[in-house]
Amino acid sequence: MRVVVADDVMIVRAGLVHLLASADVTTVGEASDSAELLRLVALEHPDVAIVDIRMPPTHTDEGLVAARTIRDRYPRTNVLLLSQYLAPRYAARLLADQPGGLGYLLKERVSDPAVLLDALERVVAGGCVVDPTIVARLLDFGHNDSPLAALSPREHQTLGLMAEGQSNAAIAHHLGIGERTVESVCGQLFRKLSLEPDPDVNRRVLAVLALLRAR
Amino acid sequence: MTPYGALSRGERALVPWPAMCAVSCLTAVASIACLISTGLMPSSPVGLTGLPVALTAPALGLLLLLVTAGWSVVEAAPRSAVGLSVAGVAWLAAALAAWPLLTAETRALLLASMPLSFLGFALLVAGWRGKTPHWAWLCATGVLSVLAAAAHAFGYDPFLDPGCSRTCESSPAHLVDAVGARAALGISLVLTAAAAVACVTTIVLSRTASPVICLAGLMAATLTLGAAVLPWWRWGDVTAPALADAFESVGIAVITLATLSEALRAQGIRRDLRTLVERVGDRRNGPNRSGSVKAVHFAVPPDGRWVDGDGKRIAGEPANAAFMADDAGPSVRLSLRRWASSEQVVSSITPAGRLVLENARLRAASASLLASVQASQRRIVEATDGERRRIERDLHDGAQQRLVAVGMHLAVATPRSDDSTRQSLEDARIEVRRALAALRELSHDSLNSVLATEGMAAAVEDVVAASHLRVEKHVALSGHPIAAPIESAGLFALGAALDNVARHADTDLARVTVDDIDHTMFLQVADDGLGGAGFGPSLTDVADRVSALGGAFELVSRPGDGTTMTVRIPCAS
Repeated sequence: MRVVVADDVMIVRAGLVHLLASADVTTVGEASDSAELLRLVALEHPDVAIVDIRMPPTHTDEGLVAARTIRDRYPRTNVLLLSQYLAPRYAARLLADQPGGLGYLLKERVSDPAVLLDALERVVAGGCVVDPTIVARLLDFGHNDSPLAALSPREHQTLGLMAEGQSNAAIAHHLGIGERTVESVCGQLFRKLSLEPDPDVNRRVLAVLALLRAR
Repeated sequence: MTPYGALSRGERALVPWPAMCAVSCLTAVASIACLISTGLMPSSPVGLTGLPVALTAPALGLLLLLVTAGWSVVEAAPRSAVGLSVAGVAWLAAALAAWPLLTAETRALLLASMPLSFLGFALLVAGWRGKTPHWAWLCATGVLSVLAAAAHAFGYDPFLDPGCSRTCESSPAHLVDAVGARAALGISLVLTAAAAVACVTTIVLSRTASPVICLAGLMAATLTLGAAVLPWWRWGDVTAPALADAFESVGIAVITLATLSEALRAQGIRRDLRTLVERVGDRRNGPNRSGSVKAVHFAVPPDGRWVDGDGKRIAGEPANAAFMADDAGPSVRLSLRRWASSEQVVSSITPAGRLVLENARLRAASASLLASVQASQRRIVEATDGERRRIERDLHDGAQQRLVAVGMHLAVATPRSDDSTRQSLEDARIEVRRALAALRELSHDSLNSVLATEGMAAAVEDVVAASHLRVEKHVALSGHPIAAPIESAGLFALGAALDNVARHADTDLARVTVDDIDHTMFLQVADDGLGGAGFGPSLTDVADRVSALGGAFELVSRPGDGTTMTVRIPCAS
């Protein structure tokens, strides 16, 4: 897997590269701002761009804008966004436009190499990954009138794990239930969110979007 | 209606309009009566059977005009009223001299009264509107006028004047017996001229505030002098006395009309001031569209700068202004139209009006002080916010990033370590993550970017979401832009209130209401918890911020009855 790392803080970039190297992921370029990042992506066509949301010059959402550009222009390059903050709104905004091939993790999460690698793999596979802390918050504070209010606790848990990018097998393992049970819970979940079976859409991604939009 | 308005309304009007109407009617009636009964032209000799000159139509009109003018200035300028009366009586006496019922002596005395006009003019102009007259010259004018009148009384025999057509009987002319008729007239004339010069000097030296009155006084004096010179100059000409009469009448008419016009102007200014005082009393502080006073400004401490009634600073100096002063210097400034005389305006302010203006000044001063205190409070809050944002940025770019990097290095090191150190490394990683979580809680920086990019409603949701409480939200924002400091203060208050609920109320349910109805940002956080909350440091900070923005902060918290915090901040439109 070939990745590009973009973060304006040198020590974080170095740490990240070190971590990726230890997990046998090749870093083909490092950028300290979004212009440099876009140049690198155009040049190297990496599998994933790991992007810090806050970058110069304004330190607000430069990374987000760059991620959108990358997904628009280079569909082969997937994006994993890193943020220092719990900002579900950012994630919702981006995932609403670009549901696949995108992840949103808290920066501190990447100090766990397993989580980082897992997220990278899911994103490369075209899935979407949302940080568990953010998912937990989204599940806690859904509106009463949103479709999420109709979900049972088990369905809530399943949706949360789905948003973290877990497969049915992983969810079954996590909840300690059978994979068939997970499938039936998912069916129930999709029905409650009015997601009919359709070969053109990924219902798992739509369900996660419903979760994000409920905010 | 304010009581001040009623007070100022009680003043007597300067010009008595009913009297003016009566004057006009009487003049018209008298004119018609004269024309019918005599068929004579005005100011021509009337002989035994006709009316005396003083009772011809124009003379009657002028007489009534004189009375009106005198009446209209008697309160504001009593000396001028006396002066006008003296001039008027002098003119009237001369005009009455042709009345056949009078004795010769009386007639001579009446005819001789003309030089007294100069004393009248001098007194009128010099005494105008409270100016101190130039007493020495005024006295000189008086003495010379009386002397001239005496010389005239004893030195003029109309029978010996070939041009005279006004009297038909002899009058005592002792001076004529001594020096001859023309010489006697000459002596009288020299004295009259001296009185005229003294009169003009008095007028010039007294520097009267009203140029109109001053000019009219000079004209009247010149015309009257002309009237005195004519019979001597055109000795024997029968038209001379009639011409002299006309000169004298025009002179008196000029000064009367000038007095009347000035009185009308003064009345206009009084009316303007009354309106102004009513406006100020009713706290209508906008500029005046009409009238002599454009606007009223107040001097406020500490530096005596000028502000309007609402305490807003006024830059620049008005081209024409009247001032009211107290011990500390000028206190009230009336910005006037170019034509208005500041002296007249100041003297027209009534004691009640003065009180209203002084009250308004105190109001403006407190408004201005409050505004400056709020501005300084706002600057302090802004400086604090700026400092906190800087610290947050430093935290984010420094400590947080270093901790993230440390976490990553620990993550790389952990799998390579032996079993004995692995546990310690794991513990260190957990500690690092806790430190990062704690730092994230401290930092509100993300809130500012949410506010900037997504707006107030989104930021409210984020604050509510960060509180770990169950919250019943009612957010109704119209979408009109709200100034950033107001939004920040609202979010700050919301955060502090929810934090208080979570810590002290012993409940996990709160009700939050946010709206911006009527250009006021309204924010309320209520719970059904323990109640009895007091002002801790965080709520005091909230109250300070809210009051710095001119808003109101209210905390209702009875023990056992829950707590309700309400914040209202007016959004500047």
